[in-house]
Amino acid sequence: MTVEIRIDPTRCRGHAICALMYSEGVELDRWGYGRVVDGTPEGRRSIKRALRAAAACPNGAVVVEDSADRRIRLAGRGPDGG
Amino acid sequence: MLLFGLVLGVSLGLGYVIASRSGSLLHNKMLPWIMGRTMGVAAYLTLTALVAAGIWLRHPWRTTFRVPTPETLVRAHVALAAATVVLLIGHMTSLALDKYAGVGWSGTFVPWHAQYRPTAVALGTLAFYAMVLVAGTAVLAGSIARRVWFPIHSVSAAIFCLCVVHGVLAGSDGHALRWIYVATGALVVVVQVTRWTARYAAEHSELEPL
Repeated sequence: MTVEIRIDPTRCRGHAICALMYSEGVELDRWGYGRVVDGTPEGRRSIKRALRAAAACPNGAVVVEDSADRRIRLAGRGPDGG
Repeated sequence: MLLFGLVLGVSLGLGYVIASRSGSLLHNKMLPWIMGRTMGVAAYLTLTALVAAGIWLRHPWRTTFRVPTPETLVRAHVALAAATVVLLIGHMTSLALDKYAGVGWSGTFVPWHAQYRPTAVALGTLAFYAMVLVAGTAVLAGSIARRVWFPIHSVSAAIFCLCVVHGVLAGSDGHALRWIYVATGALVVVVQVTRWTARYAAEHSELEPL
């Protein structure tokens, strides 16, 4: 499965949880906001880490989408991550 | 992980230096009490740094300082949390094992069961359970709903207040350490209050008509 991770800059408040959970794909800029460096996680573990980062973001700024631009979440997650 | 090792290494190194310079302490019947107090104060100091770093992570003024970088700050926050938990376990175990302290295992884990200053010790016990909740939900972030873990995480400053009161009321050397409590309390209050005021100013300046 090909997935893409992106960060909505209008929602990001710089909690930095994404950089902790998906450190191989997200880094923080000098102001502490998330920035995607590897937008296409590969492998089961990497995709799971990206999905966890998306689920953990308090502002829902981290979005993971499949190749058809459909938003995907960890199994059992609602629209607000719950 | 590296930072956690560094924090723990520095703590243990300092502990070794202090312990080796006070060899007679090792045969002192007050050793558990001294260990408990030492680790309690150390846990309080790491907690202060942990809470201050956590508040600073979302402080509007953080963008004006290049050091520490946000990456370093967030990793330091995690390392300090781990170090606080380790020191807290040492603090509680030492005092529970101390036959003369009047705390015991039940006093350590059940609020108001200690013979020694029950209310002051109970505040520490309650703060411990609150910290377990905050740390546990933070570790599970991503696996549990964000509307659960983040609001719980936001009460950490209140837990810090509980720890200050616990330290002042329960510590037998609270008077000697009063300036440490004043300085650390002031640090957290200043960081938190300036964050609120800076955010308020930023939000209201955006609403002004062009």
